[in-house]
Amino acid sequence: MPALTPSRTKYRKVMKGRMRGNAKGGDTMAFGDYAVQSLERGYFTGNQIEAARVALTRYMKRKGKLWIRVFPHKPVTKKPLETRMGKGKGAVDHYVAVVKPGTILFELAGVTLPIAREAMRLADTKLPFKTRFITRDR
Amino acid sequence: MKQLTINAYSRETAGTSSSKRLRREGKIPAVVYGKTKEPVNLYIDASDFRIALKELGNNSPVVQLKSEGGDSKTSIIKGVQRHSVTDKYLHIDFHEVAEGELIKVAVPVHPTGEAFGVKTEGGTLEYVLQAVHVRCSSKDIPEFVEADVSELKVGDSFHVKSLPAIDGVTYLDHPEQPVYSVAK
Repeated sequence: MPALTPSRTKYRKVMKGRMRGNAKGGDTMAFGDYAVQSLERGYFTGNQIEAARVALTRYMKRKGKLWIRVFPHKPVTKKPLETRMGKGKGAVDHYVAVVKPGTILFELAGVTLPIAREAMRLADTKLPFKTRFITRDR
Repeated sequence: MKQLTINAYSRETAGTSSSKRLRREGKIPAVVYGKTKEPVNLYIDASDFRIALKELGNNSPVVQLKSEGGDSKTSIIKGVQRHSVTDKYLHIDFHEVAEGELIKVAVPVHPTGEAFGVKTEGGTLEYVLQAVHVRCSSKDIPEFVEADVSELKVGDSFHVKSLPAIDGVTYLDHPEQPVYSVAK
């Protein structure tokens, strides 16, 4: 399963940083009629995004339109197993998207409300944080 | 078109702490401004505003803003700030509209009829624009604009130039801007 990764990055490795506060952007529905919004903070890996996307499109039987509103830009490094500490930062292992409370993760359009709700429920099982389902007329 | 009255009260203080205090008391800080009016800081009751928005739906931003003095002025809801997680209203911008003043507003577009491409060719109707920008006076704002999509085939698009002409209303979006398209 190919994970989502950036095609090229300005810097190979970045510092951890902190993820305090709520989402400042990407917190409103912009494209579709239904969306999944994160209520917690955390790292959303490329593999998890892909797993959620597959769950969504399988249930919708490739009907409707899906927008993935997050992208894993941030590299996460890992040291090899059984390695002594030191000797510098490890190699890039995978990429993650930093998700804060309020971030819209996926948007859907072109399907009925029950199908969208069930598809988003299935996608939610692949996500590492609590989410809520929202519709355009909230 | 429905027009609701919202009671507004002037406030002396501005800034983070006083705004937070107002929100704790179930009020929403607001501001009203206009072409011939200096901006005035206000607050409104949160439950009143929630009820008013529910009544209005997404169809019209025009309200009558009634100040403490008793006179009510036609205003449009220019901006609504909401908390990203709790959805609580944080701040409202009102734009007071003078008689005959032309204003720029976004009006929702509703499709009518079932597209040929959806009915017979198995396509999906996709919308590119949720709303179109129009210029008109406050009393001419349409609740929505209807777009007849029944003749769209797969690969066709419905453009702004095909929207029906409405008296006193000028479309501001580019005429070639697609509103709907039918995709396979």
